[in-house]
Amino acid sequence: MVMRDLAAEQLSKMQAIVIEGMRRSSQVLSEMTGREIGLLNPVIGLVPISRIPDIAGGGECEAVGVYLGVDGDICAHTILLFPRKSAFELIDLLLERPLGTTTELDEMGRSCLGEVGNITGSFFLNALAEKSGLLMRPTPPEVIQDMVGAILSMVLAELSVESDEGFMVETAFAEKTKAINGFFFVIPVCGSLEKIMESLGAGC
Amino acid sequence: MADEVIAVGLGEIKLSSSPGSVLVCYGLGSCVGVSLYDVRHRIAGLAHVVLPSSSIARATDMVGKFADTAIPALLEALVEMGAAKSAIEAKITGGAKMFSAPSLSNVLDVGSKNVVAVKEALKASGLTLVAEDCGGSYGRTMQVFVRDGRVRIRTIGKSEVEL
Repeated sequence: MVMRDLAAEQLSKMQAIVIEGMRRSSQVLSEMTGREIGLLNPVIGLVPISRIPDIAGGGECEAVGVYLGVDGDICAHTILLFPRKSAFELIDLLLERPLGTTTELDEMGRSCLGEVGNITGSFFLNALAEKSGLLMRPTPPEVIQDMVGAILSMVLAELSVESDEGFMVETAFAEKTKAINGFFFVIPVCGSLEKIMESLGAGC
Repeated sequence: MADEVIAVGLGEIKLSSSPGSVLVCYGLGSCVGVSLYDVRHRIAGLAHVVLPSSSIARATDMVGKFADTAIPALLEALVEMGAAKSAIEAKITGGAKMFSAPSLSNVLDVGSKNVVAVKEALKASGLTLVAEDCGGSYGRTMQVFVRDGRVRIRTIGKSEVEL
């Protein structure tokens, strides 16, 4: 499989780009909320597709996912995934309400998380575009609440066509003492991973 | 006594003849869980199908990923374990459409295509589909009880379905 041939060097370049993108998005989130929102050590890796839902809390775990497509020179999908409780706490933080206020996903919460997904995805893409010189455009976010496995299923189906592994970043936003766990999936499809790696190999 | 839970991940096939065990696909979305159960010998097999056809994919050794290869492989493994094909009943669930974003155009219909392909593959293998709960836009956890072949389907915010 293509993924397995990824050189450690390329993987670490990718990791640096992800961290840079996430760092910038946490800055924007801090500005948005007027609170210091940091980012906890992102862990990055290639994971067998059959195990990806387990890593994000288990296939049945109730979560909120923000999907963002990518087109342009490459074709990819990104999903920012928060366990239900984390998603609701993040909404409370963003809306400056006491933690625990949000108990279901309403339109306001949905648009809040859509915006977080938009920011995280866009900043990651910007960082990647800068380093690779490839053109990338994010699509508008789509927010759903369901089981982790179900949220990831369509994207993993497309990935399954060409690989048995997926590229994944695990991270958490944190505000003072409150860590909000989230998972950020980047799934390049249609040969886009090779394209990105080629550009990175030549570019930096 | 707690049942032994055997998780079946994406593209995997698992079997069991131990009466106390439960085969489970957690959080099926567009994927389809296919349960084949020999009612006579009480042997169960569960496949977690991700895509309709192996012809569109790059080579892989995960036959369980595709409807057209998963069902023959699951049947063969069951027969090897002592199951009688004539006593096998099939039950399926999943095949939902979770997102509608245009950028997912390649997989927008993957759920319904999976269901169609699974049914075709069952027919091609000469197996009888006795029950199904497919489609919609929500996730499902599918449990297959080896003791009696019952299938229980959990969702979020809906009542449990039994097949």
